[in-house]
Amino acid sequence: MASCTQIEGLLQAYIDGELGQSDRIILDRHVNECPVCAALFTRHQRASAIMFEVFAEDRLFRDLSPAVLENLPEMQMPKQDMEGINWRVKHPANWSSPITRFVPVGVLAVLVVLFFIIREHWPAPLPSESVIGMITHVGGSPTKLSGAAARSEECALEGFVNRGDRYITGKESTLILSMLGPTQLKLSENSHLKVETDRRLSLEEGELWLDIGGEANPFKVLTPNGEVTVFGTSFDVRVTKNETTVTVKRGNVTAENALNVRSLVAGDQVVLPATGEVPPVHAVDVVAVTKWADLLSPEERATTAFDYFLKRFGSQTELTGRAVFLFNTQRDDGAPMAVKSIELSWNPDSNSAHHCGYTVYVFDDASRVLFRERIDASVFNDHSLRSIEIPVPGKPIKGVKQLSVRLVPDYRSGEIQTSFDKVTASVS
Amino acid sequence: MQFDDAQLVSRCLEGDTSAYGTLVKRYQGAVYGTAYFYAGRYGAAEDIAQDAFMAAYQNLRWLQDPSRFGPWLKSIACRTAANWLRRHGKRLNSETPLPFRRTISIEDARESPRGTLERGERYERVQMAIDSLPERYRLPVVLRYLQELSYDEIADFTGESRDEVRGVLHRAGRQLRELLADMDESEGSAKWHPARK
Repeated sequence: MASCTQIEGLLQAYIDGELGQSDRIILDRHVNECPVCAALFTRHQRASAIMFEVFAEDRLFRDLSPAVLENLPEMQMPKQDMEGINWRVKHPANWSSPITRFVPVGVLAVLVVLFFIIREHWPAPLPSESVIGMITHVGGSPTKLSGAAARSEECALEGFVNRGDRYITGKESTLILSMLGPTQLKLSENSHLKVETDRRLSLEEGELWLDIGGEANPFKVLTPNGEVTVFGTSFDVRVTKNETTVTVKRGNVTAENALNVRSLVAGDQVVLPATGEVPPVHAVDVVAVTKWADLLSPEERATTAFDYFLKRFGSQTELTGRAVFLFNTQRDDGAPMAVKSIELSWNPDSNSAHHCGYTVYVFDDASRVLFRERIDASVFNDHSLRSIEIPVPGKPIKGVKQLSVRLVPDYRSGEIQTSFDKVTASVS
Repeated sequence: MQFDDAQLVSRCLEGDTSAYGTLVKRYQGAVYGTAYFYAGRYGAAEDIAQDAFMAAYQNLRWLQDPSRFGPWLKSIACRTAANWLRRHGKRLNSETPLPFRRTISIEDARESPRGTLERGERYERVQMAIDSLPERYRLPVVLRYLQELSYDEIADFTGESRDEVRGVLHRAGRQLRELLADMDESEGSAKWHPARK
């Protein structure tokens, strides 16, 4: 006989009419004989009856198929064909509306405007290493000859100044170049200037006004009639066919030709002739001479651009190295000594080529040049040498308390500087 | 000759709408039961069932396995009912659900107010009992007691095996037996209609 548990498992299927005949007979017999299962069966039957009874109200009697078939929609086609059609069917008005017809044109216009706005604000391309300054004022129509390409182009405001560039100002045109240092360079009309490096210019003709920054590094202006060496100052250089006139507004300047060297301080002027001795320095009305330069000033917009450029690249090209030496030429008791020669010592490095030559300037207490001497680059390329003695030309130097020696590198002969560690004077 | 679901589906795809009529007849109880399960209290089960059949026909080409037409139809019926509830949810929230889901007949109207009240209470008790069942028991229970579907019909529609359906209904029946034990079987208070198969 089946157990009560087994019978309980059959109750639902029995009531649902889903039980096989054999199970039905077994259940019938068990329920007849077992009062517990009979009571359970009755309770189960009653619960089912309640369920059927409650739901009977809502049972579906109607056949839905006629209504469904009557309203049967179109069977959909494969999706890829239908998507576009459906979209156009759903949005028919969009294409005929006058506003939406201009949407593609509008989008295009916005893109073009955006392009121009972005291009306007795009940061300037990174200048190459040869860039040493920027054009900060353009008057008239000066031209520029690029060093490498040798092509002529009109100067543009905020254009970069490269090593080797030539600037030619014609009639009534002027130019201001702001260069590393910072140095400001004003070029008058009918001038021809070659920018060799940020510290070396070559004025072939015309007039140039310079305000030089960065005192540690000497600045040179070459002219056909001689050269001008500067140690942080402002001055004016004017070149005519036969002579170069140098006028100093501030600081001190050394002007020289093959024969002589002259020191100038504020208010001095000197004329370097094409040939022959340099006449002595004389005082001049500096304001009158440099009036043309005072009338020129850089554009504000270009100055901002230059400041950004300087901040970013100025330190990279700044030359380093201490090149000024001072020493006393008095004994401890105050008696002056006569200086016969000067000896420079340096630490040799591993490079056996590409050292630059130096020009040695010797100044007295009043910053006047006593003499100068050129030292060839080959001296510094030679590993066996670590000092050189420079004899004082003519008579020994006497009556000067303190000598200052400035060493000015000449980068035309090489680019490696020498690190000088000692300058001594040989006294009698 | 009795066609199986797959054959009927393939005839539908060839354009034979009468084949779809056969499928509707075969599954209308189950689809109606599903719609009733979701939205019966709002009297919308028939409309939802019709909509579900039309949506199924419209999308018949996407039915990947025609032999599993039932479970596929069930998912469409559930989705249609859910969409209906979402569309009408706002309005329904402010309305009291009908105590009975179908229109009250003249005979019903003749009954005493007390009888009507009692029937409402019974309905609520049964509804609560069903709600207390595990979720997967509820739809088979509704299909069984509302439309008197056989275990095979339920299995074809839900995609479960016949034995699984039997097990589910057995466990659900045992719980309902306990939940409804204190309810009196009211004799003759409702019209008893045998299910039309």
